[in-house]
Amino acid sequence: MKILIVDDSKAMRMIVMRHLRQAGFGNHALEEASNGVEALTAATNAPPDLILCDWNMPEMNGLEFLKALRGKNVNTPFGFVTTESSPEMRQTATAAGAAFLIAKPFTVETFESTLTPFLK
Amino acid sequence: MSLETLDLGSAVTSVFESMLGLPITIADEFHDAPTDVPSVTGVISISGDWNGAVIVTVPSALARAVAAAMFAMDEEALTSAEIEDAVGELSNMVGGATKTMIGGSCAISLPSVTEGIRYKVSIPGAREVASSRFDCKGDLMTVTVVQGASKTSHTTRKPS
Repeated sequence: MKILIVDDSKAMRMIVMRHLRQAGFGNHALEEASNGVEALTAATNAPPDLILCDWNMPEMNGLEFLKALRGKNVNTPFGFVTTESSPEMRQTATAAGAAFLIAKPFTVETFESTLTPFLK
Repeated sequence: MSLETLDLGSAVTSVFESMLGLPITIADEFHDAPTDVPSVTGVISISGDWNGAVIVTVPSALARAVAAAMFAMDEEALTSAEIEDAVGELSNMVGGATKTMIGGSCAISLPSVTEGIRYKVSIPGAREVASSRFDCKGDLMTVTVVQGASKTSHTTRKPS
């Protein structure tokens, strides 16, 4: 399976990839994008099997990316990995079509329990 | 929302321990961080029901250690851009946790990062409402929360 990791911070993309490996998902193909614009192009051209996306990013943020993606009828499972973890933000994410929201800072155990249903 | 409930210690230790694997403790409140060592400062603005900013100042040596942990690289191999990225993301996580603790309807900015020696980060009209120092392997990191007018912006000044 292919996982698209979207975050403007290269450091955070590295951390997410490391947590994926440590959670037992190291056998999946990992692709990176640094903002919503890049991610939208990548996900439209070759839809991944799962998208892990930051919320606050330059160019196009995660919520705008999710809405644009659904507007193009790309229904890849989408989860936020973000500091935006208030109940209001979670509600906004769910309403836009996100399957889950992982709050930073996160743990390997959180990755394992949240992502297993999508990466069987 | 109540600033009295701000638990900066919890926000910082969870980032360091769960994501970086670096030990960190709250430093003695009378133990001032030295001002004459190079440091990297990340600023996150919060706007909405509450307006202010979270300022994270990390000595350069610790900033390098944080970046090495994030990138899983040797400290010597890191670039300045990677160190700034790491401190920006550290500030983002601490700022996001602070925003969640404050509550209400607020948005956080992307991080801005400054590096240097003997500089001062100023946010016009803002006042300090919380500050904590943390000790990571002998280096002191400072997290300060300031409350100010809406549309928070900051400037960095070198001493004259």
